[in-house]
Amino acid sequence: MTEKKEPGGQESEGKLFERRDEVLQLFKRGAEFYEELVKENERLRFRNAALEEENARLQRSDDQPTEVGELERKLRELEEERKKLVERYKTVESENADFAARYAEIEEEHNTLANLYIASFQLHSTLNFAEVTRIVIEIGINLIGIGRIVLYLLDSEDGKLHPVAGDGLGEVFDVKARAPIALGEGLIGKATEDGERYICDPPREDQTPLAVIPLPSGDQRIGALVLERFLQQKSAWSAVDFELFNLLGTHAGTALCSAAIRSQQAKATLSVAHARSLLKEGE
Amino acid sequence: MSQVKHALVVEDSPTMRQLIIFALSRVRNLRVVEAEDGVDGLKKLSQQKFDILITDINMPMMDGLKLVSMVRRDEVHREIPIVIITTEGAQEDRQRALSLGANAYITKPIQAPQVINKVKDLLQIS
Repeated sequence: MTEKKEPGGQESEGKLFERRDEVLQLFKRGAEFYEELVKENERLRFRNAALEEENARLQRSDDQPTEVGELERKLRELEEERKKLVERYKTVESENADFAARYAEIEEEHNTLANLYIASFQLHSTLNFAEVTRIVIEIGINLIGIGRIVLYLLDSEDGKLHPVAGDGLGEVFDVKARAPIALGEGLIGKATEDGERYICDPPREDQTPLAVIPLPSGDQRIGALVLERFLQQKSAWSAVDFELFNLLGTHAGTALCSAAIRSQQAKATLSVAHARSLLKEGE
Repeated sequence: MSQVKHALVVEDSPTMRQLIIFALSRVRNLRVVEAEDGVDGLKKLSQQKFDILITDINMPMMDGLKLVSMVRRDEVHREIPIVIITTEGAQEDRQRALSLGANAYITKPIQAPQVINKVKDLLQIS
């Protein structure tokens, strides 16, 4: 391109140069601005990509449980577990109470059986009449807890109950000083005659006797055991006492009778022939 | 394995003696020796070392009170736990036995659990 020179134009040429420089500056700034825009665009694109990525990550984390959510879930689980454990504890506690009650029952049963075993064992441990008598009295004192006890035996000759042994702990007690009792007379005579046990239940302090246990041997009346008062520390009958009454009522008479017969025939020995004849009689 | 302990039961009544021994048979690792009265009891005490003594008060030959006082003077058994068995109206006897050095008492009629618990407590066994 050729430059046109305008007339007189030293000055206008300078202006043109000025204009050109201005335009060049303008282009230069435009170019710089463009470059800045490109760079800014690039930066924004990166920023956009980063934000999109962040957004996606956040989106993902919204779908998954957060730490708080996880803790809440665990808390719910633990609460459920606690409820289950409380229920289980209650069940076990109730089972425990049942076991404790059962244990107490078994313990009492065991105690009763021990008393019965020992009473029975002792009653039949000897054929010595005095020993059997002492054992009957001992059962009354030591196992039942009787403070005053009298053993009456029925005399087949006069038909009366005679006091033969007894004990009154801590008291002046003379059994022989007691008068015989006729069968059917008073509580003692009546109970022995009828073969019906008499028991004052619940026991009263002013009531004597507290119990009369008739002592039969088979269908024969042997006598009666009279329980007159408790030991100071005892105030009521217990379940084992009634079991011991049953035992004494069925075994003591026979034990006394056997011991008495044995004492009359102290040297009698068991012969097989006699035993066989007895067995034959029983058939 | 727990150490075996030895108990001496001094009681003149065979019924009571058997009842106590029967009760003590339920205490694990406890061997029981019996004596019929105080004299017999002292004899048994001289023959071996015991961990506990259970004695009645009213006995022929030598009563429980005398036995307690003698045991407390014995070199070997002066520290032995002693359980006395009393009947009734024996508050004075009981007090006297305790003052002589008995550690505990049981009143008649005795119950097996009562004997077991008392012995276990004194021997500190479960």
